[in-house]
Amino acid sequence: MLTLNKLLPMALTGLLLCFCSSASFAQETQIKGFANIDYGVRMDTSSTSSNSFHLGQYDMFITSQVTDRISFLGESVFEHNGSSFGIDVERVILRYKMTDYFNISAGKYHTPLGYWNNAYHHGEVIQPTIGRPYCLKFEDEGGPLPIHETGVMIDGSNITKLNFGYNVLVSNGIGSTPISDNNTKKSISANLYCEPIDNFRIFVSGLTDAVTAGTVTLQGAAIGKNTNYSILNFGMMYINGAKPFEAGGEFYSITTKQKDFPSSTSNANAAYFYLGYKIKKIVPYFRYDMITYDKDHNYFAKNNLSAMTFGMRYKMTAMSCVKLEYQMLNTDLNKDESSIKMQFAVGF
Amino acid sequence: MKKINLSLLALVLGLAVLFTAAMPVTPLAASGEITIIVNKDNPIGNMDSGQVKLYWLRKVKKRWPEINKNIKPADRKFKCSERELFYGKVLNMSADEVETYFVTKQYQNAEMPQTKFVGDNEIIDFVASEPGAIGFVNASSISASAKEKVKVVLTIQ
Repeated sequence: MLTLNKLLPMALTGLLLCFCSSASFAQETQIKGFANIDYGVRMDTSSTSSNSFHLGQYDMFITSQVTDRISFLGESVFEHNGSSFGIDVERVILRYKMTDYFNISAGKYHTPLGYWNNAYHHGEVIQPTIGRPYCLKFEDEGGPLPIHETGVMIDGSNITKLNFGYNVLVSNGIGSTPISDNNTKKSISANLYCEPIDNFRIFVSGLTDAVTAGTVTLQGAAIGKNTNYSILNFGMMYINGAKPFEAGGEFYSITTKQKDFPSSTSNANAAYFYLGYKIKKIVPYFRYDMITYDKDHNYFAKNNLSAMTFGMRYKMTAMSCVKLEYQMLNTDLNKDESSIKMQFAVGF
Repeated sequence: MKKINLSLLALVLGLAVLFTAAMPVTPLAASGEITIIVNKDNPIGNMDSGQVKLYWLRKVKKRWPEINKNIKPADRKFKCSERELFYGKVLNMSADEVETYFVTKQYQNAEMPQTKFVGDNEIIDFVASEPGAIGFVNASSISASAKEKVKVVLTIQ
């Protein structure tokens, strides 16, 4: 019987043959970038406040049409980690286009979960709000989801009149690095969506992974037992359409089951809801975030969270905007906190 | 302290407004007649403006189904009456919206944005040499020799 471990080398060999069989072609390579500078004022329950300028991610983005069928995407981010500047390679994708309905690629991706994670990456100017929803925060910002994964993906789009599309990714999984896997089992994630009306997307996605005992979780704690980790996601989004309103939301259910104790199953639920209304170049918007964890969660450090964000986005040009936000955040650990943030973001 | 914070916010907002004021404003006026052209070897027949929009923006297809080649939209580099007419009557989008649309697609999926040219002759040459190209030019630029190189699929007034 063919196992995943046998199929993967075959798939990679096929991909290599596809690349080699392509005809010679004048390459088109473009280098672009994104940057943002924020200013924020934060107040907590003890009435202490702080204010600071914040240099955002300096994002270098390269795409190349290597041949008619082969494309390359690379995204590297320069950012300050609190003590010094560092470089993170966020995405490297080599893609072979077969038809609209079937393509194969390999590299480091944003995991095909939901809408926001693949519509908005690191460039803030494209993103509707300042920063990502709390459930989709990057791994190094304490987010609960595996946002980046390295592996092989197949995808297709524009299928039937309902514009169905799909992505299936086989990747190293949680606890691994982009160059090695910490166990023999691969993570599988998949996303199925349709766009029955222009710019209105309905989607369902999921991920399953086996996390080995001793793995340091995305929140920085080492887990004691082998754990089955799974995500179920669904939602919808209407944005950048002909209508002036923008609306959408996503729900994530994360289930962790520790193998040695079948009864030890824990759940975490996370969601966001976004609403905006375009008035010429200005979009007032609202976002609600929540994350809840089971009591005595076997995987995550329990820190329930809810946040309400009221903001305004002013698009100066196609690739520059200013956003202003007021946010009320409540967490188990830090209680009530409110903040005012302003962001100036550009793409170039 | 709060006064300083508010002053800083006002200063940054003021800078943003000044920056915006310095940006060129795109007027809406558009006139003339344009033709939509594809490569001579593309078997597609006449198109309506709705189809042209979907193909030029690669909304429904990213590759031409009959020839299985990437769709390569050709655009004008600078503001001109042909571009205004195409954006306004075919795409129903502003120049900023078109720019944002292609950059977003490039950022999401590595889809190359539209190729931009200074004049009609460059677009005709590009469409003639690229099997997957689709572009718009002033109808008066389609001379007898140009007709031998490209196929006209739609004329818009």
